[in-house]
Amino acid sequence: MHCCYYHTANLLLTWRHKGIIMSEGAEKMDEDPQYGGCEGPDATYVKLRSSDNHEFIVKREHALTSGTIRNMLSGPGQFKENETNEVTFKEIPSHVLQMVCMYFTYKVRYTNSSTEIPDFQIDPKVALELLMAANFLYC
Amino acid sequence: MLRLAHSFTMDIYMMIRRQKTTIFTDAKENTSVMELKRILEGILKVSPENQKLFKDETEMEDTKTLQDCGLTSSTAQAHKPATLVLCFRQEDGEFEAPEVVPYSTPPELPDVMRPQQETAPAEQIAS
Repeated sequence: MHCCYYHTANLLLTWRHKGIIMSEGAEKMDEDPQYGGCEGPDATYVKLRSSDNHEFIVKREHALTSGTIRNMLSGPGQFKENETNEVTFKEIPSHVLQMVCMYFTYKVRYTNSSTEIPDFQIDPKVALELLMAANFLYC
Repeated sequence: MLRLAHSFTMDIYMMIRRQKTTIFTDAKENTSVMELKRILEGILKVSPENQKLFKDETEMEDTKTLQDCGLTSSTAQAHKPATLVLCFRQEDGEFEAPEVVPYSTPPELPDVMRPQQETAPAEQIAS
């Protein structure tokens, strides 16, 4: 049973490392087929913009941790964000959005993980704004 | 059995910063710097020979692995990623100077949230 877990985990890690696009029938981006970018409906990465115009590029899979972002990106196509894969948050400053992105990585890494999960440290100064952002982002 | 589970190479997590852009990505410890530049090429559409990566002001050579450059699973974790700085080659052929625009600063803690003076350690609290 342990061997099975190891094999699957190894496959999953390799899959994520290669940035292989999740859905089938995805469009081919460039001549270099291995690494995706931010274009197209099945892009590997999405851009999150903060109120002070900092750009955060995270894996699409990670950003979908947030219910709000998930709705924006996979809605019935009415949202412009769906096409450009860019979401702008006019109320979230960069120091908060940075922590949000770190949280996405943390959540995806340790969900359903049997390894010891370290604490996610939050500086008290940022805590209130982070709480408001988390509330808005539904994650 | 448990030993087997830990024998695959660990993921390391990074923030790659250039001016106002931050890219959150991960890679294996034994990934080469060149491979990481290819990943960045996929995102930013800049070819690897026009990219330079720095860790703590030291340039990272293409042939080295990320582990060689000091990025391990203990220094580059999912919730505490390591920071790398990226530079592009400019039109005149020279590389731009590494520049990272700092993030915004959080507001000061309101008084009610400050630690109580009696229980605070010996350090002075500025008035």
